Amino acid sequence: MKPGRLFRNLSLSLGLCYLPLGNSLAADSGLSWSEPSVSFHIGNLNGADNLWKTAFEEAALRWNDAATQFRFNTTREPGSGYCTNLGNNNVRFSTTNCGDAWGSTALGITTFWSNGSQLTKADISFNNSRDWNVYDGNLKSFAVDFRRVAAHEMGHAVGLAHSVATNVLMSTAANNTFLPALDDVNSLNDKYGSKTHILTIENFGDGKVIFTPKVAGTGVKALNTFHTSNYTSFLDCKEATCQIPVQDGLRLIMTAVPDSGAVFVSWEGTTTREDTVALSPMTSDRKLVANFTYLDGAEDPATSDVDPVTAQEFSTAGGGALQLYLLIWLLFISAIRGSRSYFS
Amino acid sequence: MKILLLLLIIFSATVQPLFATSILRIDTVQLANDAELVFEGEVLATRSEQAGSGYIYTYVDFLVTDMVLGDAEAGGIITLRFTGGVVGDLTLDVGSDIPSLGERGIYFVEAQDAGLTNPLLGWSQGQFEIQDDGSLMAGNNQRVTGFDIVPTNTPGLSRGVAKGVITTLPGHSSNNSTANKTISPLTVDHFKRIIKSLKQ
Repeated sequence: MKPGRLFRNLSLSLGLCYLPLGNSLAADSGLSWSEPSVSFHIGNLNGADNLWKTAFEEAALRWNDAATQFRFNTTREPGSGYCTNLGNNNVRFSTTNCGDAWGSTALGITTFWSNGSQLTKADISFNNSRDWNVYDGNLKSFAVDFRRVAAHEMGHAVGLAHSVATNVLMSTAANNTFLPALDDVNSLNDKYGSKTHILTIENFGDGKVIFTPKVAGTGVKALNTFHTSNYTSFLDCKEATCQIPVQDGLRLIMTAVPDSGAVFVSWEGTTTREDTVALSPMTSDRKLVANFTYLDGAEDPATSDVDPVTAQEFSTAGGGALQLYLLIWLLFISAIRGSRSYFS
Repeated sequence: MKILLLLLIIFSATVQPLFATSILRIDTVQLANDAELVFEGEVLATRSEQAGSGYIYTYVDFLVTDMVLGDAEAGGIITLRFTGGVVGDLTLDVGSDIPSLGERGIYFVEAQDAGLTNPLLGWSQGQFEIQDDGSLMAGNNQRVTGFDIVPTNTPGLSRGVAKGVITTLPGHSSNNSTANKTISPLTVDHFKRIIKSLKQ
C-alpha cells in the first residue's frame, strides 16, 4: 500500500482529514531539498516584454519577503534537462507537459524527481493554451493569474503539500489570496526550520518606536496583516530597551514617535535621518537606538530626581514652578530696593 | 509496542502525496457529461516503467465491475496510464493520486488514449474510492454524503472534489450548508444513479 493510500485509510479510521504539520495546517509531503534554497531557470518562459519572467521573479520575491530562511532564486538563463531527472529546475510554457497532453483541466504542473525523501529536481510547466494574465486581487474567471499560480507551484516545488487552511497560497483551491500567508510561512518553516535574530531597540529620551513589517511589491498590506498579528506584543517598544525576536529575512519599518513635548533627534545603527526607516532584511542580530529630546529646554523628567510624570503633567508642573520662581524673584528685588531706600 | 505503533501511525498519516498541480475545478454536471467513460472497477495490477525519454509512467489495470457511462463491457479490463511512479531509487511525482493495487472505486475517465498526464477528469475530482463499508471517499479525503447540481463555468481551481459533491468527515455534518440534507454516506448505487441522471 502506498503512503497516500495508507494515509487515507488511517485518516478515515482516525476520523482525521489531515494531520497538521507543526504550526501549519498543511500536510507534510515528506519531501524536501537538502538545502533551504532552490533555483529556477526561467530563460524559456517566453512572452512579450518579459512579462512572465518578471511575474515569476515577483512570485519568488514574495516568498522571499515572507519570514522564512528559505530562498527562491531565479535566473533568466535557459536551463538544461527539461523533462528529465538531470540538469536544472526549469520553468516554461508548453503545449504539452513533457509530451503528455494537458487535458481539459490542467493549468500548471510541477514535476518532481526525488530520491528517497530528498527532492532532486523540479520542473514547472504552464499550459500554453490557457489564457493567462498577471494581477492581484480577486481571481477572475476569464484569465488565470499567472503570478499566483506560479507562487503556488513554487510552494509545491519545495515540498509543500496543500493546506486545509482557506485563503492561503497553498490552499487546495486557488482563491483570492495572492501572497504567502502565515500558514504558508509556517509550512515552509516547519519543513526547513526557521531562524530568528534579536533586534534590540533602545529609546534614549522620551519616545517610543513602533514597527511594522515591510514587504516589497503590492502585497504589503496583506503581509503586514499576518506579520503584525504574529508580533502583536512587539508592535510598540515603549521601554528603554526592547529585545525582539525577528524571523530571518523579515523586513521592518521602524518609526520613532516622540512623546508630547519631545522631538525625535536621530537614529543610531542606521544612516537614515528620517523618523521612519525601512530596514534591510533581518539576517543577523541588530541594534537600533532612537534618540529623543525635549523642546525649549524643558527638563526631561526621565533625568530629574522627581517622580516620573506624564508629558502633560510635566508641562503643568513646570509652568507652576516657573511662576513661583518669578514671584519669589520679584519679591526679592522689591525687598532689595526697599532696603536701599531705607538704608540710603 | 503500542506507543511505537501509534507513532508509526502518526508518522504515516503525515505522509501525504503532493498535489503538485493547478487543476481547474469542475462541477457535477461536467463530471457526468465531459467524461468519456465512467466505470466502477477494481485495480488488478500496476506497473511503473521508465520510457525512453526518461519519464516514468504507471500503468493501472482495472477490472470493470460496472459500466456507469460510456462504451465498455463489465468484466473487461481497462488500462489507464498515469505519469509518475517509482523505478528503482527514482521517483517521479506530478501530483496524481495513482490508484493502487486492490483499490475499488468509481472512475471518471477524460480520455483513455489521449496520452494525458492524468487520464481522470479533473484528476482527483474524477476519482471516488469505495471503502470497505460501502461508502465513497472523494479526492479531498472525505466521504461523499450528497450531491448538489450546480451551474457550470464556476471559476476557481480544484479543491480535490468537484463542486456540488457534498462531503463530510465521518461523524461530522455536511460541508455544504445549502444542501445539508444527507449526513449519512451516499451508497455506491445511489451515487451511480445520480451520475446517470446528470448525463444530458
